[in-house]
Amino acid sequence: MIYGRDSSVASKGLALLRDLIHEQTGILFDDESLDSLFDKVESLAADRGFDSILDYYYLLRYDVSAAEEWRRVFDVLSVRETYFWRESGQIRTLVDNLLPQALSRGNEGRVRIWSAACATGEEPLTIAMALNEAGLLESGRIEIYATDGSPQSITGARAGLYRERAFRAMPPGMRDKYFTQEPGGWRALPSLRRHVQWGVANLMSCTDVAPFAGSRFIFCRNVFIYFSTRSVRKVVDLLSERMPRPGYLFLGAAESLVKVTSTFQLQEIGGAFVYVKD
Amino acid sequence: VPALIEALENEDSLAAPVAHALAKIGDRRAFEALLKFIGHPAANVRRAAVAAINSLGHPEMAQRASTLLADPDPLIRESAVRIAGYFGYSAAADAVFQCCDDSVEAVRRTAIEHLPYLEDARVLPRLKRALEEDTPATRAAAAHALSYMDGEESTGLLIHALQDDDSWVRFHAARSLGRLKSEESVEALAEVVNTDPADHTRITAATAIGEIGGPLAAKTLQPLVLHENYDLAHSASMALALLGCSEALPPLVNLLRTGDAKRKLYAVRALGAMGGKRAVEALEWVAATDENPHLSQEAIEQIAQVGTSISTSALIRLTADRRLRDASINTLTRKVGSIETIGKALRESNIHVRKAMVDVLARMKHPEASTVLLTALDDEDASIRLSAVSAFGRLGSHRADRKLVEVAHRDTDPVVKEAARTLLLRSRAS
Repeated sequence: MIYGRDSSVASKGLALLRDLIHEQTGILFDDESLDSLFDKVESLAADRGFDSILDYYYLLRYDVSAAEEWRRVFDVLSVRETYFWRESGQIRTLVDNLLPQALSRGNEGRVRIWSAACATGEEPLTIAMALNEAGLLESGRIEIYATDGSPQSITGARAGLYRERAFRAMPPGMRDKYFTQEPGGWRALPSLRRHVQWGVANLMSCTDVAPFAGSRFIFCRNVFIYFSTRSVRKVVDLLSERMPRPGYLFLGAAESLVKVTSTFQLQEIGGAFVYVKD
Repeated sequence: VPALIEALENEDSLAAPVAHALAKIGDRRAFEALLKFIGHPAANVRRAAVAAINSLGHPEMAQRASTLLADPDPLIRESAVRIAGYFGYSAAADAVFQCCDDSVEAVRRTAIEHLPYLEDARVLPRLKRALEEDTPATRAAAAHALSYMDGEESTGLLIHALQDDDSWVRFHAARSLGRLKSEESVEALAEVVNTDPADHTRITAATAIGEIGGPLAAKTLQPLVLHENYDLAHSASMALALLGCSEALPPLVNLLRTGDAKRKLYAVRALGAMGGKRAVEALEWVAATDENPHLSQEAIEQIAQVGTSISTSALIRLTADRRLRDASINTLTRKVGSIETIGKALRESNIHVRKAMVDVLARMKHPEASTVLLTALDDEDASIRLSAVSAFGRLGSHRADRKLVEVAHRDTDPVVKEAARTLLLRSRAS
């Protein structure tokens, strides 16, 4: 069996694995959260027939099949608990204030919105619904990209099937308008889903981030709360290098860039807080 | 137990922790419920259920194992092998051997891994065949299993397996040779360390060399402490520590002079694992001179872990340094076995050391430490005597009452006198 979490072998392997996961995913498990990390990876190691977390660390660090295994790691680390219309003030600001400004600029071609940690797709679909309500979705000038580090989450997002809990903040009538009920939940209409282009992207990877970082509007909400300051700085540096001016970065209510960068300035626009690269 | 069984059967997400809990309790009423989980799709749940069943040692298990080893579900067969292997049921030996030829690799691999638990003449030839003919994962399992098979033949097979095409076979072969302390394999392991294309295999081979030792070991490991792969450098450092010979010390001490904080940390840990007078001296030097407070702290921790009178004396000396005092006091407080040495330090010429020892002895909250602490009430310095009086006040012990009466009447310092008197009054009132 897997060495118990208290054994010295497990402790050594777990500390190494923690550092490796931090390096690769940005997610930091502090000493108090090591038990939680063990719970998440124990099953993965057992699935691969490993008796120790140290050996599993070696697999992820050195094995030729590590890339495939990392996909599984992202799946177990991803937090999928989210819902439609979460922190919707920022989406209102996007639709009512910022997008009309961007679209009115003569030289602005297609405007790109990137939901950088979209989990199972609730956020980008909320943006698509809000755009549709404002009559902007079919303008042909807006692109919505949605990515997550977890391939399983993106598979779920592509399927577009949601349970009751995902609708807890949805304005009345919207569910019936954009979803159809079927066994197992509510499925987003294909006419809505087709406006979102889905993909897997690790925020810590320059290669993964580069194709999307030039977006004028980036939603990266409720991710940095799991990241170390060092990881946040790395991601924000990647974004600030490529985002156009003005560029708008939306973070979760509990997240801040105050100690991380001076490129983005926090502004209150339309009653919502947005980090602006001006 | 009934509540846990109910949770096991009804809360799938809790299956693994509940099975762990049942394993700790070891109540046989859980037997049937646990058996239902040995074919669970999640590997950690299956393994938790198997571990719990193994902890029960149920009398019916031997008979049930034979049936389960032939179950149509490969997940159940795999778990059954783990159970039969753990108990080494002789009646199930044939069925376990049959599982070594199972069409499902996971079953075959697990059966191969568990063969050494069976006392059977067929084991070594079957492991040999697996190592030569099977898939990479099963060959790796055979290499792992051979670590339990002492003897020339198994060592020969493992040395040969160091040339396998698959890195995990070589990895397990190297690890098994280390566990077997196979001196004849050091040359082959050195070759792996220096030339194997897979880093994890080189790292494990370095550890194995440290476990085995011998004349070639230190020579092979010495340059690796500066290897660009930090895992390999760490492994080599720890392997040198395992050797514990005179040639192992200089490369570790040299690492302490590099500007690389990570390598210095490895050296500190290795020196702690090595122990001995010279390693402790090196650690004391790091603690006292390195500018990185984390490294100093780690050096102090490692000195404490050495656990000898030499290391205790080093920690006592470090209390003279204001920067290191708290950390040294904290580690010394755990050294209840060193009360005598710590007591002797109450006669040190450095007043800060004597004061620190008062702190250590008081924090130990140990009767023997309190007895030794009485000496401090006779210290030539009034501040030490006052610290000792305060320490007895915190301890709430009556052990010092007679001595405190003497201090309250005769101490030359009025503050110490008053403190002793107040403490006695408080003690009597309570």
